[in-house]
Amino acid sequence: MSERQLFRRLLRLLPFDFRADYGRDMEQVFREQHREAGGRWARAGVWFRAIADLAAIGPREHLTQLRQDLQYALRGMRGNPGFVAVAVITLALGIGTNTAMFSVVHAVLLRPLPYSDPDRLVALYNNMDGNPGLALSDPEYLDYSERSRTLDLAAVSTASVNLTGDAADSERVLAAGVTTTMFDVLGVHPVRGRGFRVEEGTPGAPDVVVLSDWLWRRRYGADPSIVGKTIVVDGSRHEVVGVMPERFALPSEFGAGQPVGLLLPIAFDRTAPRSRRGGHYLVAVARLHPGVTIDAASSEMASVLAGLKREYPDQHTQANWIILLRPLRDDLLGPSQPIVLTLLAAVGLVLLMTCANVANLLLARGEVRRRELSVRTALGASRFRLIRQLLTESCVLSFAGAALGLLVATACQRLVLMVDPSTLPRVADMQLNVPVLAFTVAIAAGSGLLFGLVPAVQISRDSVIDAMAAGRRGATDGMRGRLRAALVVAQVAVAVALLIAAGLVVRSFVNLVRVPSGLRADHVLTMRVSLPLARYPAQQDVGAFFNRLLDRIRTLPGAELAGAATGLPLSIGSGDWSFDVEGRAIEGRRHFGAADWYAVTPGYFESLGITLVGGRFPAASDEAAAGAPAIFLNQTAARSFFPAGDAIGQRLKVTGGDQPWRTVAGIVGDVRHRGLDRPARPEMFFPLAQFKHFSPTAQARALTIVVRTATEPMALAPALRAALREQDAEAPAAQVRDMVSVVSTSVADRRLTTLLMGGFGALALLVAAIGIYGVMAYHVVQRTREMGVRLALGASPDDVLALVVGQGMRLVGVGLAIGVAAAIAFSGLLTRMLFAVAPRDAATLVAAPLVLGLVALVACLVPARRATRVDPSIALRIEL
Amino acid sequence: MTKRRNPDECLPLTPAMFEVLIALADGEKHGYAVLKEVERRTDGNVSLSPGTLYAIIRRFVSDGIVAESDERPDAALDDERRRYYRLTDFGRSVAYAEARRMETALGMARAKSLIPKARLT
Repeated sequence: MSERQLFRRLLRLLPFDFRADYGRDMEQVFREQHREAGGRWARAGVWFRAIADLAAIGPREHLTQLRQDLQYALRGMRGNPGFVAVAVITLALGIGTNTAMFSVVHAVLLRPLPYSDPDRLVALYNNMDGNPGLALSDPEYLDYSERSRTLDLAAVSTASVNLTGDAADSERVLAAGVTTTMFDVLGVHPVRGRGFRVEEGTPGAPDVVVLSDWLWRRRYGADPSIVGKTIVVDGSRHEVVGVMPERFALPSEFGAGQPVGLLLPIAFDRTAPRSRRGGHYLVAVARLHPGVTIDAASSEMASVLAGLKREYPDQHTQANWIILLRPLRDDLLGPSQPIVLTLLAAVGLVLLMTCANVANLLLARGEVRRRELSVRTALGASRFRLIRQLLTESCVLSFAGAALGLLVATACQRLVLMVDPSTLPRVADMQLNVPVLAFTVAIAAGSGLLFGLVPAVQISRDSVIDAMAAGRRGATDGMRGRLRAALVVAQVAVAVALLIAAGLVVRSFVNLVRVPSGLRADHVLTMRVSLPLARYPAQQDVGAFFNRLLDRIRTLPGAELAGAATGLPLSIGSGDWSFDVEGRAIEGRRHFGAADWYAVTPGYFESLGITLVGGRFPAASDEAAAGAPAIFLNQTAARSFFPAGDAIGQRLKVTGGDQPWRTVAGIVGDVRHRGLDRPARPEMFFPLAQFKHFSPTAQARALTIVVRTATEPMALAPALRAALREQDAEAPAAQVRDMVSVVSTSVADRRLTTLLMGGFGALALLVAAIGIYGVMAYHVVQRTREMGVRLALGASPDDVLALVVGQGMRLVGVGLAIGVAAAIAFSGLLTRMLFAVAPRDAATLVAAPLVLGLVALVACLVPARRATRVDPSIALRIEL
Repeated sequence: MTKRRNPDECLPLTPAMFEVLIALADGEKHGYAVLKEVERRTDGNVSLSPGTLYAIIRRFVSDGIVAESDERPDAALDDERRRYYRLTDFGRSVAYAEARRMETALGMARAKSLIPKARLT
């Protein structure tokens, strides 16, 4: 590099215009200094001084220039409060909603999982035809973990437990049974005490428990000496051996509404025979050994499974059974990803519209400022200088918008949290933290450049032309008019596409809440009660307790009907259980069929308003344990297993243990138990007193009481709790809710996306309306003279109105056409968010453009009416 | 532009700025000539680099203290590419105001006997 080139490089430290104005002169002076310096050391001194000098002056000059531009921008804005208010508020809406949405993306998707080296963690499932993503059974867990050399396995299974026996009220919390390997696999250990020892995962080991941070704080007052004390879990004493760190969450807690309060070790009898391999309830997570890829581990597990299939051929009859390994991150966050990203894209489009709006406002303002800018050009300001000045102004606007947008973002976050965000994992952790604020700054700067650049280039060109020679305005006016028209068209197109998307999502939600659930949710109060094994050892004890409690509840004033079941529609489900039917062939299958199972008491179906399709409802006679064993089916089960319609009177027997043959006594209507958006599955119902669990040591001991009330259901809640205390002072009442809120909670995730999409659609409509109004209003002012001439020459006000509205609506029409076409082209992207609505739903494709068209019409009419009121004599005197 | 500006608004000047004004006081000069003049007059104590010099010129031009000169010396003596600068009337009043300011400051220092009088005469 020559010395000259080197000096030129150094000059880049200075602002562009400084360089442009004086660069050559500086170079010349430097050359002369350099030439006159005698000797190498003197020349080096010249170089040194020049470098130090430029390094000191460069930043100072940049700052000075920025300060000047800012002062100039602020001075200009003070004179235009209306323009500034509209621009800043529009930008605040755009930037604020984007900031809020990004805080959701950051909280849900971008943060690492709260485990050490989370990239090595995988979720592990059985996967087979008809049963994808099946959890593991005890023998499967043991075999998979003992035979694998590529990964360490852990598993979790959650259930609610009763906490009793200390100063605090008895209560029900979610407990996680975890394998003793869980802490090592996740790489997270208790902050106080220790995790579980291997021997604590065997039958007969002393009962130990690890508390979660929140339960330790809330129930035990953050007792620093809790480790070593005992607490009563489900009626038996457990020693607290550890407390987990704050914010720890098991993989099973992602997207689950209820946090886990305590961890209990799962005990395995490793010596027991493993030939019965059913009972899939363990959700597995594994850590890959160092250097092992997920593919290598998958192929190892495939050979492990092949060996097990050879050993237990009758236990692996399902087709295409594989062991599926999936990165844990994808497993936990994958389902949320498309929804969150779709919402971010939608809100991003709103920001683009906002930018188009402000760009249009700036173009219109450029017209007004033309003279001022021409004067500056004439006084020697370069075009680059003008562009930079104009961009500084637009960035000042966008940063003011961003500052106000932070308030908008906070409001949006509050709104999201209000709509029960438990279904979107980790969303409750969203904050305006450093990465989110960095995003805000980036989109503010990006927006400022985006909406500022085109007007700046355009306006500066005009100013330069104006300064050189007047009289060339026609050409640039035309170009600018076209630019503004294009911005309106683009804005309308984006708005209508967003509105269609919002319309589809809203319609989906309406369809969803209108879908017949199969039950009457109004005037129903529910309460979950779980009885401890210690005091209710047999199923009969449990049955007797609930029947006593229900009899008492039925006498409460305001209670009309009452019943109980092990599940609750849309809230507490169950797994399936296979059965055989007397006299029916099973044709190569292991059993005749399988259905989800529940134990119920008399009054359960009636209280929930579930219809009787055939036979009878469960009756008091079924509660006599000695009575003839009965079973009840839902309509789907009856139809799919007895298509001839002869279900009543058939005898069936569920598998495992010494189960009796049970006679189908009744068929009840279908209920969408697992979600309003999922069709009913086959279900069977056992009378509670006759129920025998497939696991010989287990009973159905947690039931949900449902009470149909004459009045507002929650008004009965205190009486219901009192009735429970009367029967058993230690049995805690949990989840006391009315059924309407149960239904509402079940659609909370869809409500959130609907609310957000609907909100973005409304925002798009508003921004488009402001944009169209702004352009048309400006258009009318510009053409005041022309309107005057037309009116003077005999045009009627209606003609003028039609002219202005027609021009505006032509642009709107083009935008609508483009937007609808885009919506049709990209309709597939929304499929995941829709329910019972086609992505190209004709009604929405017509209604959305219609609504936007009407709003646009109003936005055109207001300025058009102003045009008709132009006084020709005044208009003709205006010299434009 | 028609409003008369107050030269005091531009004060105080840095020593380098004042040196540049003095260098231009007796006629227009190009940048290198200003630099040499300052160096000569201060016995090499003040040595301007191109960056500092043109940052000052830029500010003076934008404040209307200095203007580019259209008049050129004889073609034989002139390098076509060089730009010459001259003091504007306003610039002259700024230089005067700065000199007055310094004079007042000196007067005060003298009154307080901070400076021996002999050296000033």
